[in-house]
Amino acid sequence: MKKKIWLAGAMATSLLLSACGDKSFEARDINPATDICKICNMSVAAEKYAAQVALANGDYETFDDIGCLMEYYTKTDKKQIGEAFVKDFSGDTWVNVETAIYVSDKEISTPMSYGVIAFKTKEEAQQFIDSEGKGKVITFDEVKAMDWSGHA
Amino acid sequence: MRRLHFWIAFFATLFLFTLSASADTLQQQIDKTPVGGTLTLFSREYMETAVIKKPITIIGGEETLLMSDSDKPVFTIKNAENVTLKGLHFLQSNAAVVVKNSSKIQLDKLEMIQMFSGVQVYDSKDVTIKGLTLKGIDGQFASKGYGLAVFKSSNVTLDHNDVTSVQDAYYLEHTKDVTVTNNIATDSRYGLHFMYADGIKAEHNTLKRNVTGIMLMLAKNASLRYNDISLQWDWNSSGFTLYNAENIVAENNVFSGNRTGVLSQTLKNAQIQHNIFSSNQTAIEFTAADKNNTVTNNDFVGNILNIRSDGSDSRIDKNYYDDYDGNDIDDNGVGDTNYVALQSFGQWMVREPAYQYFIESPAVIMLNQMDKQTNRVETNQLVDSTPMMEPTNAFHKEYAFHLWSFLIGLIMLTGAIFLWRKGVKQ
Repeated sequence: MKKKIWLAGAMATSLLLSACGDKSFEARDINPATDICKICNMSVAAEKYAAQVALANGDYETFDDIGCLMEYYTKTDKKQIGEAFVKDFSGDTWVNVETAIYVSDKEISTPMSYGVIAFKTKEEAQQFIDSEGKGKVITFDEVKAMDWSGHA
Repeated sequence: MRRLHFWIAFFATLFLFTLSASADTLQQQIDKTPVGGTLTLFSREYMETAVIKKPITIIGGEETLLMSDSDKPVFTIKNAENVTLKGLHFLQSNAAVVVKNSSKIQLDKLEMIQMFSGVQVYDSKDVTIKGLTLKGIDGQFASKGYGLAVFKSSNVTLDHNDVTSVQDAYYLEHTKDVTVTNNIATDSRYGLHFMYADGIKAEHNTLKRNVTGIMLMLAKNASLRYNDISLQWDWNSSGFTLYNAENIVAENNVFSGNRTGVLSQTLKNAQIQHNIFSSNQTAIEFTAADKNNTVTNNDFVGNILNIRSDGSDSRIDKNYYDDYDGNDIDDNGVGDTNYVALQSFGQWMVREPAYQYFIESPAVIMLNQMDKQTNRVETNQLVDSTPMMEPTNAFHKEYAFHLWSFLIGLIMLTGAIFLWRKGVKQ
């Protein structure tokens, strides 16, 4: 009997411990008919420029441009942000903002003309620069340091 | 006999010449046309692309039909001046015309059907597009291109065009001095979409059933007048969305049947005046630190919410509200008590759009009645101290007579009376 009580106790403890672990966040699919950018109100029609934030409370915010994401990201308390994602420009996957590779050039056309796109790997980013003849690779810290407030 | 031979030879030569000319490609015909000349295309189908680099006028024949045989546009006008395309018909192509680094370009009465996109203009000036009709491809707007798109160009005129079923009917980015008049945009994502534009005149346009009628983003010095903005009724729809814009005049427009008539965000120095807001879910919504905006001499008729705000600073004066229940004892046409547009539920709806589904619920109606009582002491937010007793604009209610509906109703009524009488007799 004692053995059973100990076993039940151990199981309950392991369950509780697992619940206390880090919560993982996943990007969700974009619906261009209903999803709009949290910052500029534009619909998220061109998904290859899109970004999203999975909030710690389980909600999501979507963005049509990496610039709009960064305007939100830099002004929001990081405790509220579960995980932020950007769409891989050359693929169909969502990449964590901190691990993504960014290419910047004012001649790169994006929905809000911020001119920054994201890639999953450095090779893909370089391939884009070589084929388009424009852009340079920048780090996430450089992305954060850019001026993201739009001006008329 | 010799004369007969001459005529036979003459007509044979003429026939062969015509045949060979007709067999020329589009590019060959353009190349053969002298500078400043006019090329009238044959009444046949062309499935090819061509580049125009010189002053030329190209006119379509009665049955000329142009299609691209690749992803390239049918016509690319590049580094050219004084080019006119007139009366051409395009079908099922990625794009009809692309203009790059050119000036004095006229596109007149072009027709485009089942196109991914219509016209794209880059780095050009003095461009006029008028009388164009364009119907996009079927499907969700995310899979379509722009109707008429203008980038980094100046002195652009879009007049009397009709664009439907595309992503954005008229898209203008980094433009200076554009005039957009008498155009129609329907069933698209945005009717008119301005980005980083300076100097906009948008007048007498009809924008219906789009996600948003006019999307004005990061733009300044715009005059939006006499536009008919109706039935933008989707989940995120609005008549105008004015985002991060300044020096805007929205005047004499009619907003009817929209989810939100005017949605503003970080708007500065805007004058919203002499407009009619009729049957919208929300007529005007101010959000995110709007500054120095005025709402005057407008008529608010049949809207669920007239004005809502998240606390932004705006001056509201001399508007007519159909739900104003004050008196005008001195008979000067101005109500004696304030009109307060503030509604608790309206404010909540700004922050959480999903609340719109509870808008006429009994609890919300009761809350609105309570607001009316408590609002009597409100003096700052969303207060019009000079509400008008009569509409300030020429607001005419339309009475339409639907003959078929009347006849069907009459037949059904007669039938019902007949059956009833038959039943009574039995």
